[in-house]
Amino acid sequence: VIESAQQLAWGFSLALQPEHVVYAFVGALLGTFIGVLPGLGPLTTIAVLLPLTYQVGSPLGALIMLASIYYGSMYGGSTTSILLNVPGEAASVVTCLDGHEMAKQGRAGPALAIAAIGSFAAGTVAVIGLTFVGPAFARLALGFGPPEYFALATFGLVLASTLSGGPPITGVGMALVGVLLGLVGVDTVTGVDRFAFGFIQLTNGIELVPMLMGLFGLGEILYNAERKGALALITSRLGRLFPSREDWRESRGAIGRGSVLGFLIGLIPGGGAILGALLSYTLEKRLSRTPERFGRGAIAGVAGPESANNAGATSSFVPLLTLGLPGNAVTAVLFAALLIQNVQPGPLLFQQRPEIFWGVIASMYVGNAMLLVLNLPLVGLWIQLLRVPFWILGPSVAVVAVVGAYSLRNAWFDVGVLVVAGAFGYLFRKAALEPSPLVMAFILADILDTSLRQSVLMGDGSPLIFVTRPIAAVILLVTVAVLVTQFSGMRRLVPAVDAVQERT
Amino acid sequence: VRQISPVRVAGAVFVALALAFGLGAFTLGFRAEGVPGPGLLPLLASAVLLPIGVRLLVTPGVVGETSPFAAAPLSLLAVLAVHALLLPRLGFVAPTLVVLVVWARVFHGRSLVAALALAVLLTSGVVVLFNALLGIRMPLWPGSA
Repeated sequence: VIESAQQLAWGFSLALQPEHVVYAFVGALLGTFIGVLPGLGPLTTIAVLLPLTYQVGSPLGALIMLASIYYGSMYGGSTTSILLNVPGEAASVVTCLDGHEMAKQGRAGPALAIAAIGSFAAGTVAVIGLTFVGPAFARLALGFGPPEYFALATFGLVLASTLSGGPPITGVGMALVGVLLGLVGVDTVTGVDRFAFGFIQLTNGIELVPMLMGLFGLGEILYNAERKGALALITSRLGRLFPSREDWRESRGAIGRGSVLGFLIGLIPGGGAILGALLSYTLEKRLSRTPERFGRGAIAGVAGPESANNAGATSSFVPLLTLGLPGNAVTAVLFAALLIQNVQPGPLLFQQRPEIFWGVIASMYVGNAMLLVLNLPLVGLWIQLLRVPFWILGPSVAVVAVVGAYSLRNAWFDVGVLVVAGAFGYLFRKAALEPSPLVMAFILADILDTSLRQSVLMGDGSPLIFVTRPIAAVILLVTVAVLVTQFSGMRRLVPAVDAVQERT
Repeated sequence: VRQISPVRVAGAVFVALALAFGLGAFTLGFRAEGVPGPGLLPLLASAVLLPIGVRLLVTPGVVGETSPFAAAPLSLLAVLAVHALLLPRLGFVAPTLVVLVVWARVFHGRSLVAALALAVLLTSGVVVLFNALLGIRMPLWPGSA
């Protein structure tokens, strides 16, 4: 424990280096700037801004900037949820329930403030938790072989795809599409070209960033192109910014409970922010003496889920950095970004490149503090951004996406990937299919494929190795149990899922 | 266009992908020297995806309520596709200016002046930011590639 604290202190000395503070500041600012644009969630924001981080010289600097972009975009998403009733990602749907009600009642100010303060408090709890959990995870992971990795990746994918909102069958379908698309390109084991369909540009696989920008950014723009009327923006009555004493009393417990709950769920691959936010909302409603106020502007209904969301976002870095397994779509994108920087996340990263692990953990704290300082005074500016009319916003995002797609490897081909992915994004949006399982599976496909084949090789050609290795067997058993409960109608364990699914 | 269920189209896409990748997996091989070959995982994934796609194709109602396709996004998509095809031939500036004017004029009913202002400001802004400041060497004019 003392060692971990020392390591964290070292991490802070890295994160507080002037250049890294600048990256954190720019990341948080740009992340909020893009994230606050209606409909652009954290994934889109990261995708649009990812090419910028290639300009950053060091892997640590790039990762610090990405983490700050992520935090900023989450805060931006809370803002659009509260003021516009437009959630940027599934987890923010919960914030809409009471946050937008508060805004309608002229209490947008306290709602926005409590979201920022709750996120900061949750970030603090999560960073402290990480300090202790991270090393334990890394030690555990050192004993993992390909069968365990295959089992964990499958588990994460199944959990993420069945909990993504909507019926589980569509989530699983999207994940499978992601696996197939992720396998395009040269097979790393045999060197055989897979599914390039004659395109030489596909030998290295489909480029992630244009695909993301298309699925989320362009898809959202196309979806909005049919909406003529403007969104009902509630800014006339922002209310006082700071929460009243009564607000504090109602939120304190919710923030604490949400932080712990979100942290624990974020550690599970595939658990992710949406489950944490939902469970926190359900818990607060149960514990409340006035449960009837939930859904009608209860501040605890904003404070709890927002804290859970943020704590989960922080703790989801643990499986990413220590196991090398991204647990949700956002960390999957960060995983890909790390590979681009020539950093291989996993248990060895913890030993060989400790500066990455501790530096990023510490910088999350710096990023959180920065958001608090940045966002409370800048609320007015973000609200102005919400007023940008769509005929300016849509084309701007599209043009930046085109240049961003081209710039990755100076290829117009990737602009084509962008437009095709945009068509898919629009189709999925119309068909109410959530694309994040596709993204996560796309990135995990390589791990799945390699670990499956290595496992069978280890088992001398027999798939029985998945049953004889106890850890792998238990994880796969739990995976099957999740599938059975999700498909057998037992999924109504969390009643709020219904409410959320009606809104997504 | 409004008559077609988006869920059915998505189901058809699932089926098409499952067939393309599943059949392709056969040419890749499932076993290579006693271990699974490059075709195994694509085959497994396609085999599960195919019935899911068929299910969506046949009973789109499983997804719940969805909204029908609209004309504007589909024509905008066509405009963007033409843009992507013209870029390698004409460079960045000309196709982008035209697309932006069309976008603001046709899809949002802006005046010609507003549309031109958007096109010129946005195109020049992006060129300055990316080409001049961030050093991305993007062909701007025909023949500069």
